[in-house]
Amino acid sequence: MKDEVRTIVEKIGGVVEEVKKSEIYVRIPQQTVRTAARLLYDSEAYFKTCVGVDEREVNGFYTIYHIFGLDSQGVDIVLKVLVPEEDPQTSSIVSEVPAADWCELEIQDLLGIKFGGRLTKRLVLPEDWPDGVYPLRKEFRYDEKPSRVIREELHEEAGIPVGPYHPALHEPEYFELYVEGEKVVDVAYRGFHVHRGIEKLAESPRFTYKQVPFLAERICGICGFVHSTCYIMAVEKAADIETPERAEFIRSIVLEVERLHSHLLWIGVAAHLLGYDAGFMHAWRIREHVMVLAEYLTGSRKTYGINVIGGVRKDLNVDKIDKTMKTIAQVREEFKKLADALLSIPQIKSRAVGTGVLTKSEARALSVVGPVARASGLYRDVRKDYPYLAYGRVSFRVPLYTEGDNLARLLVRVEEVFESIEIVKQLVDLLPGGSVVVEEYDIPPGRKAVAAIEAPRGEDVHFVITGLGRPYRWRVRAPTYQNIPALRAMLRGTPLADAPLTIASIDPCFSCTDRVLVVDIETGRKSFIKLVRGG
Amino acid sequence: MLHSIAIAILQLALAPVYDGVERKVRAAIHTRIGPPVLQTWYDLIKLFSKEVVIPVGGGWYTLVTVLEMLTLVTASILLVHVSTVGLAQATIFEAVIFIVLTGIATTLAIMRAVSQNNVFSVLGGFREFSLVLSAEPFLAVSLLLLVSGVEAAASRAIAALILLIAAYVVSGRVPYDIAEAEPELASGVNIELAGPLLGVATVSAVLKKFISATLTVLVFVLLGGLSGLTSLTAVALLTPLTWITHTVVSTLLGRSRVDLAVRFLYTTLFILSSMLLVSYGLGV
Repeated sequence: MKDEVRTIVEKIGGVVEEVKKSEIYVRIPQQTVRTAARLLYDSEAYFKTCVGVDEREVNGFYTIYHIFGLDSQGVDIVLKVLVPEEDPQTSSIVSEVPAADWCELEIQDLLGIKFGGRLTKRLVLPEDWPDGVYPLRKEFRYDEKPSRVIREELHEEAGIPVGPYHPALHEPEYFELYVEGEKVVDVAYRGFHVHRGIEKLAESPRFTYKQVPFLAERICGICGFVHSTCYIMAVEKAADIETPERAEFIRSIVLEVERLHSHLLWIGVAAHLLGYDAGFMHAWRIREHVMVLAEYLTGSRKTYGINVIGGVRKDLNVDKIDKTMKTIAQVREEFKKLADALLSIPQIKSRAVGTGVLTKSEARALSVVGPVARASGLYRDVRKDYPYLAYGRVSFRVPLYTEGDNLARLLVRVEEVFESIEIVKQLVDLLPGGSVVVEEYDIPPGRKAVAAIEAPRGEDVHFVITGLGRPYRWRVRAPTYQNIPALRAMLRGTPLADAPLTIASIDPCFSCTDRVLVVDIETGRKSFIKLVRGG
Repeated sequence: MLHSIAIAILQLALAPVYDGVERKVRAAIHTRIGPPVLQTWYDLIKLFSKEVVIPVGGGWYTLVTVLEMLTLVTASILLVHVSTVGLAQATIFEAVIFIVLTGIATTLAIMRAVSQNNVFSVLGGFREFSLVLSAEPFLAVSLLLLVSGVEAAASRAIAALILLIAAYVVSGRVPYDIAEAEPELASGVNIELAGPLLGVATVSAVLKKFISATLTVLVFVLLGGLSGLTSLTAVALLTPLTWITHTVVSTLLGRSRVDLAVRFLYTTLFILSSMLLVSYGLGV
């Protein structure tokens, strides 16, 4: 443990339960969690997420893990708080760490632990879900369907509705914009319309460790490989499985291929939202080269299915390496022309400059991630802060802007396309020999690990507690989950016309965010219960 | 006048084809194949064969939508009539009637939009209103000046430039498609339209492009000193070319924002108008 980290851990107090290369687990009493959170926050730690676990059959308690990342030290400090079964409530840390807002509400919804000292509301569960039924408790079967509860409708109409179905949104989410003239003064948000029960499903007898990567890859239709890799990294860390170096390089190459097609997709969408459809079409035309490359490397354009615990299922041969180099050279050349054209369109600049501003202090308070953080002056990139796979072997630049507006986020992604191309080149050049998978390994139960990957949208975090044959608990915190709360600050003061662009500027992936439960949402209602009030 | 109406009917029947060419050209720039050139006609036939859906607002809404189209048809016929003699030979009376007709059509479009109990439609209506205020008065002034037979070269050139810019705005293309703005307002002024009523609105949209292209060509006909049959021929040949030019311009730009668009248009057209006033006063 480095001296700086040791000092912080000593200040926190509590019991250090486990020290790993990049994780330190500290058990603290409920009464000191707020102080400890404040101390970590003041020590420049970012809040990653909190995880509620039903560990009653293990230690007789519900457990909450608050995961903080000391980016500057490359270490995660995990605060572990035990919550008694007979009185399931604990202190909230939201007053100290605003970024903990959603995950606390999620734990309250799914595990039934109450958080004192904060406003509470239903976040994840739909309004027709019965009270007192908590799906992440172990006694709740993964395929159980509680009877629906019809509640009195609260019908309020005030702002301009954007969603759940809207041309600017490609997945169902709801934003209600409150405007003065054409200026947005506040926004209300309602998400989690399409939960799919993935975390619960992975704990069920239907899944094993080896099957979960294929489930994880289906969390997202764009950055699915990130999720499968992150899950696998967490399991491999927990079980101390040594992955062959060649497999780590292949995973890194595919991750960068995924970033390329994701950023090209987003740049196309941004151009479309700004009325520059030529930019949209050409971005997606260039993206098609990347999709073809992905299919050549993995067998699929998307949802590659090459990740397994211990390595990968597909190796790279000379032809694939040659094709990779030719494709990225072509993509670089064509994208350069597109980027030059895109950034010379007067309407693009005039509409993106000064709109959707997220200040550095707001970004820090909400622990936003990825291009959103980097466009607001936060130097955060998991590939640099917690080098994983083969990223420690390559050199690249992290684009950084301080303006925090839509143009800054656009420029960060444009530059990241070029950086990704350079990373792929280096990885291919340095590709080591050897096998690509280890066949024999053991995953003992009761181990814990946090893994993080720099997804195209930012830091993706997976937390795993190992069980018998399958995860005892698997928590997924997608980057969009961390970035959506920042939209309120970004949309305030933004012209209504630029609201879709601002929402899109975090590159939201709602399918990543809405990943928790099996829900039938066909309530037949025409109104909704507001969860976040404007004003 | 009868032969003007016959030519107008032919021209108006060709307008959806020009629109189809626009879609094809835009597709080519996008590296797409695009729909057939008759697609706009196919769309109209399909829309008019659908059941009539009357949105909230009832008969009034329907009346306003149809009246808008009829007003634009009349304005288009008048424009074609003028093209048979040339803009230089057009009378002030004809110019005034044209300005009044387009003004009425715009007013009806705004009324249609803001009469809906739909926030996107209302917002689109107000955007349309803002655009109209920043372009159409300048269009009217420059058109009247050109028709009045002013000979001074600088005055004619400046008036022509104002007319070209304002005529492009009338076409409702990017960057000035902000009243519709699909990704922002989910079709804005057209959000409540379906079936034959959407067909009527589509005809109106095509006619606006037709008026925009024809007006632009007439300016060049005037500057070129053409009249009579040569004017008519020039208009017939150059209208689709102008239409395509407008298409290329719109494809290479992004959508503006209502405040930016109004500021740009008002500033540009106001400066040009001031220059026009000075040059007209000096007789140059």
